[in-house]
Amino acid sequence: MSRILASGLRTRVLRGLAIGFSLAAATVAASLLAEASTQDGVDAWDVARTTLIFITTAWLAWGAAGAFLGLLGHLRRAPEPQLRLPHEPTVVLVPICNEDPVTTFARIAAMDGSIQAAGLRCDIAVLSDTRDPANAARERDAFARLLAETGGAGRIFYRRRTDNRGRKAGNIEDFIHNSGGAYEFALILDADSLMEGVTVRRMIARMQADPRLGLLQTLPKIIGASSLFGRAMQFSASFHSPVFARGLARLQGNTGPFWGHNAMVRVRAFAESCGLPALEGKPPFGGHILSHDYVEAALLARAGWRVRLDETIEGSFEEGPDNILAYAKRDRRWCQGNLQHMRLVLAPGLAAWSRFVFVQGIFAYLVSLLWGAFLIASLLATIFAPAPDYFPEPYQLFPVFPSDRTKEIITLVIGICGLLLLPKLSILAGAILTRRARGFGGGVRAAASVVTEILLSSLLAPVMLMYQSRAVLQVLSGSDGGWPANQRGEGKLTVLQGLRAGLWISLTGAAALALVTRIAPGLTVWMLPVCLPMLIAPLLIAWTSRPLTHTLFAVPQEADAAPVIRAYRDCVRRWIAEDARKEALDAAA
Amino acid sequence: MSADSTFDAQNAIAVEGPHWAPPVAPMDMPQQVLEARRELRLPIWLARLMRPLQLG
Repeated sequence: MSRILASGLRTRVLRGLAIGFSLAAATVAASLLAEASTQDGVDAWDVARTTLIFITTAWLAWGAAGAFLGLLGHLRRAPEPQLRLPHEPTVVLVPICNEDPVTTFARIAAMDGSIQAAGLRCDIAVLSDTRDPANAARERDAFARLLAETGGAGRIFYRRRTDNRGRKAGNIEDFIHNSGGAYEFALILDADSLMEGVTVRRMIARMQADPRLGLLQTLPKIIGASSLFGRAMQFSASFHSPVFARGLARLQGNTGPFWGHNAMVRVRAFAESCGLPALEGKPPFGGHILSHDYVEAALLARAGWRVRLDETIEGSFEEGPDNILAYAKRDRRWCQGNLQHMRLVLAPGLAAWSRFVFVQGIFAYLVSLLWGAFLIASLLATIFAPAPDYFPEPYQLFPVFPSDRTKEIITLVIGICGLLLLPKLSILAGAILTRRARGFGGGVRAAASVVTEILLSSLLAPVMLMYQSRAVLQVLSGSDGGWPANQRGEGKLTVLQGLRAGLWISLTGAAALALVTRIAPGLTVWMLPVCLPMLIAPLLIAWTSRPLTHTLFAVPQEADAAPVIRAYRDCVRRWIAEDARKEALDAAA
Repeated sequence: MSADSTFDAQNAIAVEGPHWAPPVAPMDMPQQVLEARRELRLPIWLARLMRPLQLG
């Protein structure tokens, strides 16, 4: 009991420190800008840009605070609980919707083998929401092959809904309505998830050891990326994310996150707390709750269950988007889902931190608009600034030159760059000191990867900002983007595809640059880091989707792939070869 | 019925077998209240505001 209280107090102290740091950094940034911009008097644009720099810097500092908290090592770790056998009935849920059946079922075959090798007896249920009948027929074939290969009849299940109400959340709810009583724990996965059997074993042991633990979230590592963009994301997710996630876990405490997959839930807790209603009205703000995972985490916490993130649990994997367009498409869905949470911030009975998490999610998208608004306000403030008054007093003999405020502006720029770069550089230093960098090709190669990732993400930031701003404006104007299935493995894009998707960004960048050069030529240099990447957006989209064969962005799971990943790849190769042989026989016949 | 009998590798159009379905074990999953009804929002908000006073 005293340990729980101490843990609660520690979480509160850390939250206070992170919020205090963010507010302090924002205040310093706003003061510097106010000092530099108001020497010629205060106008509305000065107030606007000072307010905007306060909000955006607070956001940056909040992210940095999470990383700094994550860098603190574990002072005292609770001993890892041992699994009690026989373990409680457990099911692995794999909701799918128009996925590639070969890769999807090959993952299940690999996980089934790994789970059995770990001495567990878990059922696996494939919950299909596939609408296309031809694809559904392919799913059934793949499932029959899976059963034949694994001997999984009575242990591995497949059912397809004809009514896709509630999308993924509705799919899982339907399973719980019909079969939830048979299980104590459910491991919720995505179609592209992979998990080691020993990881499942560890998670069951954690659920057994803490009867109030309602949900245990792992930090999945990205695997299978091949493009420059995908490999940079994969590296970042392996190198930086564990530290950011540790910081997040410390801040969230028992009101942790749920990311919708690679997490284990206590079925009874989930059933009694997470039945989601459709919201009144039409999408994008009404209808089914799109980003249901955040809401489910908040509802579990509301009912008194613990929701924990443990980034130290290894052996949890997923795949990521391999190019900017796939990323932007996914981000459009997440944007709508997060902005829909505006209606839920005041939901009755939620923990204050759950409300704060909703606000964070909303803000993560609105901040793009705020950065854009800051740039515009700064431009307008410069244009409408009064001409310097060298003789403010009557009968003045010598002119009074305005004092030079370049120092304040440079300090501000350095401070903001510091908030952006310091977390990543600190993580690099920590990885070299603790020898974690060895898994990333050694200190030198890890440093090269970190620097390249920073340069790449800086180059792509204005393009991402444009896609995100468009998504926010679409949602705020009432446009429903729906929730289309992920298109995995879209891979390499041509320049023509890049041009189709990014021409509007190039035109916007060109127009902005032309306008600035004409009306405020002194600001042109400051606008180049934003406008140049926008100008070449189509090339960036195509270039970053190209396969990267270089050893840059090496990650441990490439050099020494986990057994479940190797088993999955073997299975895919074998099944594809079998299918090709069968097709050849059919053609010959 | 074994899986082999439902899967013909030569003419693979598998038919969903009855044993494919997960076990039947119904569990109630009540819908949660996320938004107060529009007409009840004000009284609920006032009641929440008054709560510290009522507690003395």
